[in-house]
Amino acid sequence: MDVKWGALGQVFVVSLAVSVAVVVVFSLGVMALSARRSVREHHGDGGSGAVVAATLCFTACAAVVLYGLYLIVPQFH
Amino acid sequence: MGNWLSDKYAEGTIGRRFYAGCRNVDTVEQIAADHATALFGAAHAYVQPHSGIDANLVAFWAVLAQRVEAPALARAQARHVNDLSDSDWEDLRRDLGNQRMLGMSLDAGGHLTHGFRPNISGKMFHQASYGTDPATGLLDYDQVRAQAREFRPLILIAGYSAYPRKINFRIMREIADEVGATLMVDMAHFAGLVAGKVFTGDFDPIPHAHIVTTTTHKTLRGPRSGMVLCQSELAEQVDRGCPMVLVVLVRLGRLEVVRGRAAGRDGARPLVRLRLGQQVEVCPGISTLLPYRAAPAARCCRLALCASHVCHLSGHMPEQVLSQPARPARRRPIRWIAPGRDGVTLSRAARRGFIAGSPCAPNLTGTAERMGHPVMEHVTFLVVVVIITALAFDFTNGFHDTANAMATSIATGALRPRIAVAISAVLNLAGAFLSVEVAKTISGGIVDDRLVTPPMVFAGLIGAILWNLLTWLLGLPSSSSHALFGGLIGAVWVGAGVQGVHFDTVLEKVLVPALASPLIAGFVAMTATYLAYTITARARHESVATTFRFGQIVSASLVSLAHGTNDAQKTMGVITLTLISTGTLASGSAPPFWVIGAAGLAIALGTYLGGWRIIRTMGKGITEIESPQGFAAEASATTVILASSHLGFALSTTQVVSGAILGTGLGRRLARVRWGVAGRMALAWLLTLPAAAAVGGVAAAVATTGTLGVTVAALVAVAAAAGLYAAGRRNPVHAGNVNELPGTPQPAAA
Repeated sequence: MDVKWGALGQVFVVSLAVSVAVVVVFSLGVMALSARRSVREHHGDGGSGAVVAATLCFTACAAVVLYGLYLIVPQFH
Repeated sequence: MGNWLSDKYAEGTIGRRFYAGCRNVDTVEQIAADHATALFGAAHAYVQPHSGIDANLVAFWAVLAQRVEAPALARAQARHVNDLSDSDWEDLRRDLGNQRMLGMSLDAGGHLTHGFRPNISGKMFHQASYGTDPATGLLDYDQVRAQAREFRPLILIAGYSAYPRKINFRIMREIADEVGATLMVDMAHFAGLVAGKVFTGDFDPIPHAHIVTTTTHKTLRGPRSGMVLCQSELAEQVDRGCPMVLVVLVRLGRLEVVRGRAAGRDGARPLVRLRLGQQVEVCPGISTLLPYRAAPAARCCRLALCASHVCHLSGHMPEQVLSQPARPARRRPIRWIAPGRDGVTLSRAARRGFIAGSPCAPNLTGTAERMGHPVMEHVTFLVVVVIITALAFDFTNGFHDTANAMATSIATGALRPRIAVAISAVLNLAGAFLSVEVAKTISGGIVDDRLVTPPMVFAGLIGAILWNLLTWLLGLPSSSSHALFGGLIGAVWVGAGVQGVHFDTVLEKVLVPALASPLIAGFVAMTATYLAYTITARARHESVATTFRFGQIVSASLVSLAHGTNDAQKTMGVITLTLISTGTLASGSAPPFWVIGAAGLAIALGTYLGGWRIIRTMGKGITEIESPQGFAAEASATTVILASSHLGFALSTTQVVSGAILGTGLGRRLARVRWGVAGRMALAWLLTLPAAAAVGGVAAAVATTGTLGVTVAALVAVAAAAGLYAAGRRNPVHAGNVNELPGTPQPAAA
């Protein structure tokens, strides 16, 4: 038997790191959106900083998704 | 094979011998000629030739004598060539050497003796050839007609040694008449089919051709010899074969054997007729095994032609392979083509391909059982059955795995159920067309692929399908890959013995990933969920719900696409490798477009129909899922799946997703994980391999016995599948109630 424990460990570490990163960044984006709504509710406008933060967060997530697409579609390799 | 007749000088023809004492020879030759005319319904038969080329030479010279020599004699008012003046004789000699012949080109399947330069016929005639339509591989009669009009041959030859089709001799005769040519047919390669009344009407050369030649040792299956059949106006010239070509009458004894055996008095016997017919019937089998051009209409001749540029084989390799000693057909029907060198005719002449023919097959008593009709039909039948079964498996794979991508999105309301399965179906189909890597082995090394035969693949697929249906009925997600592996293991174990199963690979590729997948995905999802809830704890509820739902849709779509590229490809691999193993595709071929399309459609259709029972279990049964959890679970599952397939440790999608959902239940405080459901799921995973193996093994025991066995196994499998489906109908789960858990304490039983 030749179980590639090293590869399995790699899968675990990479999955954990990427998943946690994506979910945390996405959650931060959600927080930013939520913050913007709260700011607007109280002041009528503003919250542009929150919009920028949210955009950054979701762009980062989109980049990961695109990388996922790249991995899935063999024609890109 | 010598006999007393062999030692007797008997030049001349019946009643007109050069030597005395030929009365018995006359009797024998007359009997042989009578049998030949009776067998083929010909007006006249000349049975002295030793072989096909002798027969052709007699025919050529008979036509030359009739069309060139006789008119010259008439013009000179001479009765015999000896009466001609020297100058008339020189003119005649020049005319004889200046005639044209139109025949089928060698690379289209024509024969060397039809006027080609290396042969004496090519030195006698100015020859031109007609070919076949490159697009269809078929004879283009209009082109033959056009060529004949331009070339105006004295002799138009129809007949072939390697054209795997019927020829319409009525049309050929029309062409010959139009241009004033004599139609000669060399039927050596299909004479048995004419004698056996398989080729009739327009395809029977006897009533259409002026003159017909044949050998007696090919499809007539007699000893080596030849003969010329002709219409009565050529009879006199044909009988001048000796002294014209000076054929010596030595083979009559053999010819008599032929007459008695293949045809003549026996020709009317049903058994002989059956055997002759069989030579055509086996052809679908042969053409299934050979990637010869335009395969669909193959049931017309006993030949299959395989050009090197199609199959990437020279004549040498097939010859070596086909000359291998016989192997038991029951175990290895794929290798049916190997039962002995006598079963296959090979033409290495051009080194550009080879032909495989069936003439000897039904004749060889020792190998008839293996080479005959049933075995070859079995192969054809099997290929079709395996393809259908593989597509059925693909379909169950689709609806079994819809849940992997879409269960959480449906459960959280991110997507309406119908929309979710539609998106997943489209992405699965797209994924099928995107995948370029073909499975190199049917089982990925879990079984010894060299021992896997189509019946075993079929049996393995049945095991996988039935297990998929049973787990669907119970609403339990289980790995379709593991079911397929299990089915194959069982089938190979029973079909080829326990040594065919690589248990260490099973441990490595099935058991370890089965344990690791849910643990890794569960831990990752749990961590991600915990962090998502911690970070967004004070966020506004509507922001959380809508945004996470959007993220869920994106990650679920990625899972669907990845699923299409992986799982549809498995079925394509099974079908393609089956087609390769039976020779229909060349080794190393990519899946043909129809295979990709069919596999993609099967999995997409299955996905669209949605395994609602499994979706309910995964979306609602394991734990109640909120949208942040759904996102965390899907994102984790996607990451684990992609990481596993690109870092060289394949994990099962089903178990990854199930583990992620379980983990996300644990990661959210106060969420309730229904451990009973999780336990049942784990039990199903544990049972997947052995259960599918048991079904696959039983199916293999039946299916490897032959066509009847395959039919029985298929019918039983269809009945079982129908039974499981009917059981599901009693308590249907559909798009409308997929998110409602029944009030029973065992939701998974829905």
